[in-house]
Amino acid sequence: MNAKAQIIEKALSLGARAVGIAAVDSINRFAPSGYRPDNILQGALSVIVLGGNEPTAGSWRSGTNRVLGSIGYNRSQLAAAARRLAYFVEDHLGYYAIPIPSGNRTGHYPYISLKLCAERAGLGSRSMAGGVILNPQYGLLYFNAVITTMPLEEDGPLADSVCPHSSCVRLWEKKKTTPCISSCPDCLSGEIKAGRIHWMEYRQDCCYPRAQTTAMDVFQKLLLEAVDESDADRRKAILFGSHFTRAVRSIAYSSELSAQCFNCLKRCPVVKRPSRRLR
Amino acid sequence: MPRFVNMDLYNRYKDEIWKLTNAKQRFEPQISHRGLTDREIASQLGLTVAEVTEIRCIAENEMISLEKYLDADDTKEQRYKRAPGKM
Repeated sequence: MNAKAQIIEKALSLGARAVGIAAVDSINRFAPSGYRPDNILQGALSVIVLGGNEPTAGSWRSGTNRVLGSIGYNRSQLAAAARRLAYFVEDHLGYYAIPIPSGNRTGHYPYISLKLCAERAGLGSRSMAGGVILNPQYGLLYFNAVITTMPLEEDGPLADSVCPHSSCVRLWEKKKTTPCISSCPDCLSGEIKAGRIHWMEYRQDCCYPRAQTTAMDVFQKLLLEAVDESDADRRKAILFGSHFTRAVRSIAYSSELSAQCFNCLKRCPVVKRPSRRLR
Repeated sequence: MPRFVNMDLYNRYKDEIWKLTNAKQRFEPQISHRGLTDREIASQLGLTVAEVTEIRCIAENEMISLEKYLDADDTKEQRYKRAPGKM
């Protein structure tokens, strides 16, 4: 078995649902300086991208957004898989490796764009839903990556875009909307032309409080609100209230850290497709 | 360790820096529309990278109101049940 096949087999055994390889040169054609794989690991040649951690099919059918967004998915396992894969590359294949998490480096800026890496690794293509990468087999996937000095054959971008789905093209032709845009018209806008995405705009600032409802930013904001509050009873209401409690729990246990929104993808035919087989 | 940014500097540049970030993203196949890095913004506005990083981080937090977070659960549940733009 060649090295690439070993890496893919190992990543899948560690819990990844899909694995792809992107070449650093290919990523660097699009990523700005400071956000390139070889800015993180000198001499990096390849990025192994792991996809997974998506909500279970049952989570999409939970009946409440809170269940889907809090316990329906979890991003920690894929990060652990990426770290273990990095050790595997170093211990068994003899090349430097470093795992890249899905978290941010400063503020809302990431270490590198995992979307770009996933795209170049052939794990999916940009969607009308905020540019979320959609995988043809699994729909929504989260991504982690391992940057390595090992030269590996690149998978390259998909030949055909996953989005828009044919049913979305038909809906656009009739009503000038898509399931994702109609679910979140304040976050998303765009246009389909000749069956393809012509343009898409995504307001991250509108999406952020819904996708990160109980994450770090709201912890800071409620803390400032409490510090600025002169009334002791109101201070207590803020700090002992349900929202601050969830924010503290998120930080303490990484549970519900993001409490994702998911509404733009809940009605996406690409995301819904895998769950149709189940009983 | 980063120094705390001067709040006069913050108030003077927060809107300009915010507009150059990824807060609003546009995608068109084959055309680059990415937000700028702190280094690129610093070079454009004549600030240091550290100043831009600090101003951006504070702005990312301040520009989104607390109410948006507190209302998010209700908004999400409503939209989960019915898409607001459904025709």
